[in-house]
Amino acid sequence: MPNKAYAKIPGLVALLVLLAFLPAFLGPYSMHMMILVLIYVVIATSWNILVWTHQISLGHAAFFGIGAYTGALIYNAWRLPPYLDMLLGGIFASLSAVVLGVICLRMAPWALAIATLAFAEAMKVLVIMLPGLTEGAEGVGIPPLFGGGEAARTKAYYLIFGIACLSVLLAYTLKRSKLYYAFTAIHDDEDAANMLGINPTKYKVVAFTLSAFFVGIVGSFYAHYIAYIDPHAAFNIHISVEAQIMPLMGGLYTVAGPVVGAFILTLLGEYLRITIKTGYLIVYGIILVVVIFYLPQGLIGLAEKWVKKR
Amino acid sequence: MDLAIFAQVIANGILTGGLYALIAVGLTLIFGVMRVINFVHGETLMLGSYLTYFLFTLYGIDPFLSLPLAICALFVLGVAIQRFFINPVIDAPHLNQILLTFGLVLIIQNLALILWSGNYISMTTRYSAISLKFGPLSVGLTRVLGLIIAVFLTVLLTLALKRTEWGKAVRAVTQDREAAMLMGVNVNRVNMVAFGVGSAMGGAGGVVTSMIMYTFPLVGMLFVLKAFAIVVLGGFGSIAGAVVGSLILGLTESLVTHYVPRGSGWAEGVSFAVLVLILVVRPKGLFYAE
Repeated sequence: MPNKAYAKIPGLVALLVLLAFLPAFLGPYSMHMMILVLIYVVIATSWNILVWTHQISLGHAAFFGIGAYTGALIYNAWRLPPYLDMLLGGIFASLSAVVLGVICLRMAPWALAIATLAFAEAMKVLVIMLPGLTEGAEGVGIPPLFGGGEAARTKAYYLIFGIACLSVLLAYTLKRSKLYYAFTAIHDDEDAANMLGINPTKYKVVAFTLSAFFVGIVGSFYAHYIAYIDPHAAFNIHISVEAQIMPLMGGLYTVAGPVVGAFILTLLGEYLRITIKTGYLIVYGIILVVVIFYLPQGLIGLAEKWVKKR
Repeated sequence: MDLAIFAQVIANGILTGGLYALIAVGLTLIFGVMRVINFVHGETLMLGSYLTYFLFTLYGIDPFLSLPLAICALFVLGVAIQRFFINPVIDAPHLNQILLTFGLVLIIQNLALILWSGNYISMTTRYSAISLKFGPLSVGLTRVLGLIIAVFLTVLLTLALKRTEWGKAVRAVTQDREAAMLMGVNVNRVNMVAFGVGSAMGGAGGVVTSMIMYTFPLVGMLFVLKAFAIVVLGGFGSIAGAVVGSLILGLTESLVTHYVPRGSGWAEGVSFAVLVLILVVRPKGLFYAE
């Protein structure tokens, strides 16, 4: 439906322009929140790519953490340019996804779900227990990105803005490529896909690797931006949970869904964290249950239904 | 190598393994019947643990008297969760089911955090400090009692699965849900009771953990990850596999803790290493029934 696609363009351009000029209007705290929002846009968008093959990961924190640690350690050792360092974070995360994927993606979906959860926990133990390499539980400090300060924050915002655009563009391009048909063919009927000459495992590994790549990049970005990383922040199960809830709330299987989910939930999460303090994650739990029962198509699905009715 | 120390390490491993078995058996039962990844299982343990703690500190009720109470309470809760939350999505994609149980975990866990705070609490009974001596071995009485509870309940469940009509129905559904349905098995009822029984086993696990360690809102998460590793290790849905898997994990953790430098830190990762290893070598688990 080309008409419908073109109809979205003005809104999209307006959104991009708004985001591009945002630093002119926002104070330091709001800028920080927007950077976090964009980090989660990348994580949610990447996680959602895997869902197209009907696999789910419960441990995307592993890729975030691997990206963060390779970024921090390599930077401290060689002082590579930060951009290259972030790319390396993405590459290392992808490599670990290939290994894990080849092992687990031949099996039923729950094997990957459990294995990814275990993988993230195992990586945390490994990082804590190898202080010679990783400085253990104390964490690693690195010089702040772009020298620190407010000017650096604005630069960091544009950098993560660019990364977020690239990751959404990747998802969008994938969705329109032949690869997407292979992904969904697996999703609909694995045996049939197999007979038609689509090797399901191969495509699942491809999806898993792509899904890990940008998460590794933002992991490294996060380490540079915060100028410090420790095992509990890097491999935080919270990251894995957010990665699932955001696309689900926005709308699984869509490109816009994870973006919408990341915006709403990052800001809502921060608001709740300040107002409720203890146990604010209960709201996330309620959202999960309500969305699964009443809004399986997410907010995007709800909006589409609403538009059709009018 | 000092044999007395080695014997002690093995004894510790078996005691820990027994506790793991109590938790993993319930989880594997639920998985076998419903093919649902049930993260709520850890929260049944957490609730059983708090129930025991409060009954003891508020009313002076001994943990052993709380055991049947916890089992009944968690059975009812399990049945309710199955009826109102799991059953509506029983034919939905795995993705929805997993995310739903994850959502329930977040709700229960944070409710506990709000109601009872995040503090670690523990109780002291008359027999908490008693330890038994068997030759050179010395083990805490509560841990031995925990093992006895675990063995008793696991044997009881195994007998129920072998001898009762419900047990036969459970095994039929585990093997082939559709065939069981065609043969006139009331699959809905089997599902509900199995979820209740599995949750009750989790609750019993909580009674034991409240005696031998701390109670806190995240205690369930601590065990559920290991229980999943065990269920994969033993083969999804196999009770015998879960018991053997639990012992393997308990023993390995104990050996690593004592014989590896800084072993208590490494032991935390053993279950995950074992899990990945099993997935590589024997993807369907040790005891997978064809």
